[in-house]
Amino acid sequence: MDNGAKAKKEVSYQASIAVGSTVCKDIKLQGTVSIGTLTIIHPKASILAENGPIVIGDGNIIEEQSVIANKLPADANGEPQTLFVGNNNMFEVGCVCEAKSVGDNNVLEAKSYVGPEVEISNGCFIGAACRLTLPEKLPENLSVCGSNHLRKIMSDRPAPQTSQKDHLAKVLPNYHHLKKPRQLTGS
Amino acid sequence: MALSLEKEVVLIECGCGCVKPIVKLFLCRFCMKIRCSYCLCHEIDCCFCAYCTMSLPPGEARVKKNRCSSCMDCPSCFQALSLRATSAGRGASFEDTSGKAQGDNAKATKYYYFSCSFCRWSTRDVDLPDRTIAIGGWPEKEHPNTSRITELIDYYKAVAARDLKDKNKKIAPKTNYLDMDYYSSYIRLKLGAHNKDNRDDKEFHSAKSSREQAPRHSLGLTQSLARQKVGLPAFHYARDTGSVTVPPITPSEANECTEELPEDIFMNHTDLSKIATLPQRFAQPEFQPELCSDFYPIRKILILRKSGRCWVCEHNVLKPEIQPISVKHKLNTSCFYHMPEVRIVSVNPFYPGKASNVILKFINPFGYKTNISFDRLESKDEEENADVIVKKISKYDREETKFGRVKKVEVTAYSNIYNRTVVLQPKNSAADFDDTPDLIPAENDSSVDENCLWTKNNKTAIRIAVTPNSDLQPGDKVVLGFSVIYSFLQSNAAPDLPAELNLSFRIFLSLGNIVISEES
Repeated sequence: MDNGAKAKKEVSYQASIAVGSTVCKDIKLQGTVSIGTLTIIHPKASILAENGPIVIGDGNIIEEQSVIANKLPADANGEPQTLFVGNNNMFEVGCVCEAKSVGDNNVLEAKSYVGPEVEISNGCFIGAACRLTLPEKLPENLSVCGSNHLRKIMSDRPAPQTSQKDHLAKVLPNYHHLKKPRQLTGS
Repeated sequence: MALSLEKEVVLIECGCGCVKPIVKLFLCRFCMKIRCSYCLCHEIDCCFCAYCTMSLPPGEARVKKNRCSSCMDCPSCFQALSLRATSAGRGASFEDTSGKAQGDNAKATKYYYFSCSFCRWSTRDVDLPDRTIAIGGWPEKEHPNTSRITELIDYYKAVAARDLKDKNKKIAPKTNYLDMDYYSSYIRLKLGAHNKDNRDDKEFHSAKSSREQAPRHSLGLTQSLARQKVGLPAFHYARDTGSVTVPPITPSEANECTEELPEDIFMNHTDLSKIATLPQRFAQPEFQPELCSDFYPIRKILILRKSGRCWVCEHNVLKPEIQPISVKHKLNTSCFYHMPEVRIVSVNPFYPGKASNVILKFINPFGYKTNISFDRLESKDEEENADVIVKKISKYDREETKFGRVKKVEVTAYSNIYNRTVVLQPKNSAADFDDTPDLIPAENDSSVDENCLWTKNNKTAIRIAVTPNSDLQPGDKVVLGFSVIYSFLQSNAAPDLPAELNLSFRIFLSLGNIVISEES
């Protein structure tokens, strides 16, 4: 009976959560999701594998109210495509990422939006409230910011958030219930 | 709040003839006249950086090109750059100003670079070496034409000096020694004539009162002071010490051929992310970088804090505190604090030639009871004053005097407000927070005007009947004008002035438009 109530409440998902990650319980998951080690997911984040599975790499930070959604159309064979998110990315508060793929060391600032036809490479920086909707592949170390979406190439990728990650991994368990690491078990 | 007061609905006429909202006017405590920004001589009080609040005297600021030496703006997005510290330095020249060689102790030192937290631009993007000093001393980019510019400036300075000298030579009498008797009699003559002819010249008197207390006899006057008094330009007795030497300059040469465009300019794909936008180029007018790789941190522009001085009596009207951190004023004679404020509470629809009710609210800014009464807009007696101001301003050839001044407000309605008195209770800042009920006067209280609707603390609302002119068309503006006379108590009045004054100002209320009738 208890299980039935739970199933009603939650949308069905299959999650694989690696050991060493900090994933809060109060998140929204949908579909097949895999979360890598050292990744930190704040409460109220959403990972919605709507059209296909989502694979999130290691060392990412996904902040509150951010949405990572797989909106990819099925490939030529009619098979669902997987959304791969690389390592050490930062998804700040309220960002929406529906990108084709996400590389490593990217920063999506608060309230930014990346549409389903955009491919994010490595070291990109998408400024607060910037919207990328047109089909393109972002070059490496691209910075987009401001109301005019000023673009430029940075010399370096954004600095890694190692200390922030360590701090969150220490602090989040004190105040939130965490999801236990597991290998592809559904609920 | 400030925005609602800045709206051009309730306008007050300044001594010079322009009409402005109450918050943009000042009351000169010495002339007891309203002054607007055109009637004030604006003086630079201090220059300061809004980012680090470092203040500089104007002279020094000019030497530093009015820019802060330690704070930088991002050349890409113009936000302030923030200083970052790392233990791992980068860049070609670690051995910068500190002179420390890169060695064992280099490990302990911290390296600093600027980075923009908004667009992630950093000085490392353009290969600027990191520094070991945190604040200040960031090297300035050398302009390629600096020597040429200084050469030209020196040249034109010398030319100006030579011209001035030539001009003075023409005026100066041909004596090689100081003829004291001649000048003193000349000056006495000048001053005497001035006094007799323009006995009522306010400008002269006011100037006299402040400065000309010095003895008029020749012995007490220095030559330069005497000349200054009679309005002659200063001349130099040392004119024969030699002529001004003008340094030679090489004139610029026009070049016939211009640089050819690169061959592949039309073939190559343009990468906009590497090319500077126009605003980015204009932000650095001396370099105007074409490529993002040529960016250099922009030093922050200093901002000014200015004080205002009355053109007529030359007293300070507005004086901020020197500390740039403080937002207070040493002296602020804004009309907002020195005259009752008039607000429009409600209006009824207007029809030409028909009276409609308008409720006005009067607010007392003073800590004492004030009587206000109303009068028709009488003919102005301040014309001469305005002339003085305009004359003084035109001396400085200010553009605003020609274009920015609003001269006439056409009054298109009349009312029954005249010959009434309203008593405003003193302002009590603490009482504003109390929830006191509105005081509605009893119906047959003969001591209170029957049109007084309510009173609350220092505020009183009255009802007036406004009749727009009968020749107005639907949609025309209804503007009511009257003058307000109020009692003003001088707290620090000079002994020869009365402590209580009756001051007046002319006010224009834009009440709305004539109703466009529904039938048409």
